[in-house]
Amino acid sequence: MSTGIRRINVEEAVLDLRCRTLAGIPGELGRLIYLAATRDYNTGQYHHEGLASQFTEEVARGALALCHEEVFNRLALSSLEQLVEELDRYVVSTRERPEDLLTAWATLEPYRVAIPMDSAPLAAKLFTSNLGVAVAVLLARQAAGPDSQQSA
Amino acid sequence: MMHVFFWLFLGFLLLILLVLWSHHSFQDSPTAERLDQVQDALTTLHLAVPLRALAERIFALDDRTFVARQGSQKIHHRFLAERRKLALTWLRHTRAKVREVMQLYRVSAGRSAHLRLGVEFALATQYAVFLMVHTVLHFMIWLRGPFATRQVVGYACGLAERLVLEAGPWVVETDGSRLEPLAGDWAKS
Repeated sequence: MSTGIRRINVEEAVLDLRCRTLAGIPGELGRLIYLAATRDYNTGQYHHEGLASQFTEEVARGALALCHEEVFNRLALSSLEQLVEELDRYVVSTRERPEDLLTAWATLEPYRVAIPMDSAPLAAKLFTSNLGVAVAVLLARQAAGPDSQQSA
Repeated sequence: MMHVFFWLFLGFLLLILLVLWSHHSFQDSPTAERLDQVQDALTTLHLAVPLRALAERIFALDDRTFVARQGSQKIHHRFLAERRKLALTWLRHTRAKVREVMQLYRVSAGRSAHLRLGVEFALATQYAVFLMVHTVLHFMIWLRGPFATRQVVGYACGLAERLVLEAGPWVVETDGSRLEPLAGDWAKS
């Protein structure tokens, strides 16, 4: 397959992924975690059954990697306030108890494995720092009670 | 004693004139598209400097304002400490990458028969200014934190972009991977 045709296929796969899968996930953080979860922990290779059946395994991997990088870059360059809103939206979408999820996140920092492998190291550091602060902000609001749930 | 001050003043004036002249010597102001092209090419050689957008985010005042509004000293201190570390990391990365590009540029330009003397001199002056600004920035961030240095950061980003735009294409065309071992030898000599 020529490079040109492969590139067009990746673009089509990206469009398909955005419209059919990512559009149904609320919030950028949710999308980031979803895309990171399509990665094999041992090899770092992306895999998506539906996408691979429509296109090819290689094209599907390319599309997943591209979307993962896009979503990550948007989050890494978000303001802290926007990140807190995204985290809040994600917590609500999981339907877990907010205190439990936020305490686990503060301890384990699971968002570190959601970072794309090829991301700029500085962007990765900014993202983990900001998300750590966002978790701390939401935990503090939880501790303060329902009256302070709205941002100051 | 007076004549010492006179010569010092003259030397300082000459330096200012050189810096101003070097600013005007580069042909075009960096356009975002042109810079993206050069950065993309340098990325393949692991030589891309950290993006301006990243610097703007690290030094963004709105983040500090937002954290201050939360009313928690603990979170505020954590945020300030982490941002200071990030700012110094950004400074180190930018300086290291520009230095790598300039080292490789010196090696490639040194082997070229088509030197542009005016541009070479302007580039050398800009690079010297870049190094001075980075040293000052390091001190300012360490002393006053990252948020008091935003304007200087903007200026430093502009300098890095101009250097990358001017020297980057030469490095890319001459294939940085072949030049790197040569640049190492040059640096040792």
